[in-house]
Amino acid sequence: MLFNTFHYASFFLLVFLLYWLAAGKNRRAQNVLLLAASYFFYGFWDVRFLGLLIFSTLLDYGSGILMEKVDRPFRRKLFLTLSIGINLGFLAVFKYYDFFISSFASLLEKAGTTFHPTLLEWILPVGISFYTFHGLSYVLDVYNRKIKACYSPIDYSLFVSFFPLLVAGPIERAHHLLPQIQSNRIFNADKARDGLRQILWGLFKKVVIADVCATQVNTYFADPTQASGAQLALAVFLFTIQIYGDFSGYSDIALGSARLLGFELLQNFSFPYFSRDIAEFWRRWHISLTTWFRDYVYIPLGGSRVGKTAAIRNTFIVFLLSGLWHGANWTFLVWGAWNALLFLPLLLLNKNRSNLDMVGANQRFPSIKELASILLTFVLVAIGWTFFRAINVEQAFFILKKITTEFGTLDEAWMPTSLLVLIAMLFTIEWLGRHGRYALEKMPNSIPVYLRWSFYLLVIGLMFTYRQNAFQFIYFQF
Amino acid sequence: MKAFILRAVLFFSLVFILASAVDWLFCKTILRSKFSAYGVWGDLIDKRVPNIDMAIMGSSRAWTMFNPKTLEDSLGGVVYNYGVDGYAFHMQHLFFRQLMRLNYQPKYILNELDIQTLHIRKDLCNPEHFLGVLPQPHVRDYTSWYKGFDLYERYLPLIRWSGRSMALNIIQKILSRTEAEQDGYDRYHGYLSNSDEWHADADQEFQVEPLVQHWHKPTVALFQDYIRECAEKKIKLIWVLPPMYKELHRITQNQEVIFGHYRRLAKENHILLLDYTNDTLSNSKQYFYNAGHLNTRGAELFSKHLASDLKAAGIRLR
Repeated sequence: MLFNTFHYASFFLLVFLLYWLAAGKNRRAQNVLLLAASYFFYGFWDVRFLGLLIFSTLLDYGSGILMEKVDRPFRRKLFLTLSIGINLGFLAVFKYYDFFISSFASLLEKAGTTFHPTLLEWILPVGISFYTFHGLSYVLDVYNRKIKACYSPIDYSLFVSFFPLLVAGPIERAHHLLPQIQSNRIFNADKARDGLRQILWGLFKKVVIADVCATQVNTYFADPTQASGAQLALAVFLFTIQIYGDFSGYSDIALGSARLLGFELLQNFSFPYFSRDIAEFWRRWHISLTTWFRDYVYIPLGGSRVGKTAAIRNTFIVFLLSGLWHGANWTFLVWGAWNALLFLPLLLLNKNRSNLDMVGANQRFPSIKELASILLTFVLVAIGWTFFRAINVEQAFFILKKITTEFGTLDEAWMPTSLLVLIAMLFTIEWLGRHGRYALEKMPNSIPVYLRWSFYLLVIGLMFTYRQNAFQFIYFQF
Repeated sequence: MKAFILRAVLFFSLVFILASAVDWLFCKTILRSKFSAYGVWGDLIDKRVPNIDMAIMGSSRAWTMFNPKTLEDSLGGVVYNYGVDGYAFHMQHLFFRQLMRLNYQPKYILNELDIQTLHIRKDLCNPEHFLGVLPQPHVRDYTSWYKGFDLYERYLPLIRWSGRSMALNIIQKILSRTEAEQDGYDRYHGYLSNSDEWHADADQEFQVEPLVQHWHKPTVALFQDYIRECAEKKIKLIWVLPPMYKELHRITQNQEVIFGHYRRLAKENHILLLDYTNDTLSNSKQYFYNAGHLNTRGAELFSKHLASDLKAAGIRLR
């Protein structure tokens, strides 16, 4: 059930009405309803993997309680290891086994030994990377005594499976979401309106921007040999926009849906393409994953306070793991390495925290220097996305080489003028709304209601005009 | 909560009303087009061709092979070809239903029959052709038998137009009057022959293993009801088995069973059945563009032949 379909709209409307009208103020009833809805939502994708989700949930739920009840460090560590081991084991088998075994076979072949491994070729359960990380953060926090174990199986299951975030995040933390699940929710019309607005904006980014970009991007990336350097540059630019529209659009719909049900999820994007350097970009892009790696990998490894060599090592570990988290392919590893390389100079020069505020905080427009920094960061990020999107590393290098050595011309017929206008519209609105959590959040209430509604109708009209076949969200594959 | 719901209902009602208005405009506009099947639907719904004496019904073999002009010249009266591309009798029956609904009763209905008439496909072929008429209950009902429009497209305004670039381009051209959108595509009373010559790909149709054509029981029952309804309404039926290239005969194992069924029904119901499946045209590729379809040259000859046989059988339209 994709967020950008009428199936989801109908499903959500039903859940919303039952949740607030039938379940009323009974928190337990609300949670049971949300859990049932979440399992239905997940089962709608592929009911076969529902068992895996429930098993993973029960494993972490049980581990949490056991870790809290026992005092002996060895036993606590044993439960933690079991939980992490089994969770990562599932991830390894479903997501990484084929990749590592075939890479190993290639390596042996290069060394002159023939090895024909048996590949599993299993379908990747939707959202496995996300709900595994939910569970891991919970058991690690319980183990480190940062939070208390959750004794309600319903509440804990809902924390892992809450449908707005189940298949593509944001990756929630127990200390943030569980207290919301365990407390009474009262309907708040202002928040509900805000939720609807965020859903609308998310749909615009997905349906009007990302999906329209996807059509062009897919054409060029399908056979880059047939495209000129200029066309490939356009494809890389459009993919850079597509992945933002797709993933941040998804996150907006998730956050908006949750807000309509009285929950505040972690902000996942904060206008990343207005970043002035790569460190700022990573504070604004897929924030819930970045902070997860920061808290559970980077800092435990010593972060940047353990000497330069260790800091370099830790940076590479985090970015490579982040790449690998996205998928079992060398392209993701190279993408991670590229970002690590971009990040390192800032870290070593101690400039990785020089742009903590929003660009142009008190100005209408950015300065020339800021604009140049933004454009440079955008280009560097786009180069990384080339690896992310390419089917293999060779293709990515081919594309980058062709862009730099055989630029050629862009046939006017291939210029997606209306799409470029829409992209300009996206960034104009995002710029104007950059001080909110999403672009429309701070839409002034002073604007007359008819003008606001006209704007919403315009966005809906654009969605109708540009709606194509509902493309799957890119991050569902992770 | 109540205030929020009321406000949301108000907003979405506004969206619904605006979408319905645009939908209505799109429907009206596309039915003005003469392009492809839109023209046929427009002629039917807006009654642009009044007093039809003979309606031709069938599949693509009907609309590309039966020239109404030739029949009109020979038999007098007005003939309209409602052949529908890609469909068997079930969807052909939709046109009959529409004619009856609009009180548009012809004296004769000429049915083009073939081996697939009582079969049914699973997918909705050319869904764009139904965009302008889908709000009509009959069309909604008939198209729901096929995988094409989902529930939302069938019942919510405007949704079904989304992403239908061909139809939207036609609407844009008509509304902006920038181009004569019907150039080269207008049919004469639904008929449009294909001037292509036989091409090599068509030979591949014979490379398949012989198959058995299964009947779709609800369509068989619908066919029986149709015969009965026509008899009650005093509409005379004429059945035609048009020419098919000779090699095609061996592809369907139960062809004779199917044709035998038509013959038996025709005899039981006193329906004139004209069989051209072994006509001399069937022996030469020069009259076909593929095994099942005559090209313009073949269609003209066949239509003349048919007109002459109908005249000889005493059929007069006026």
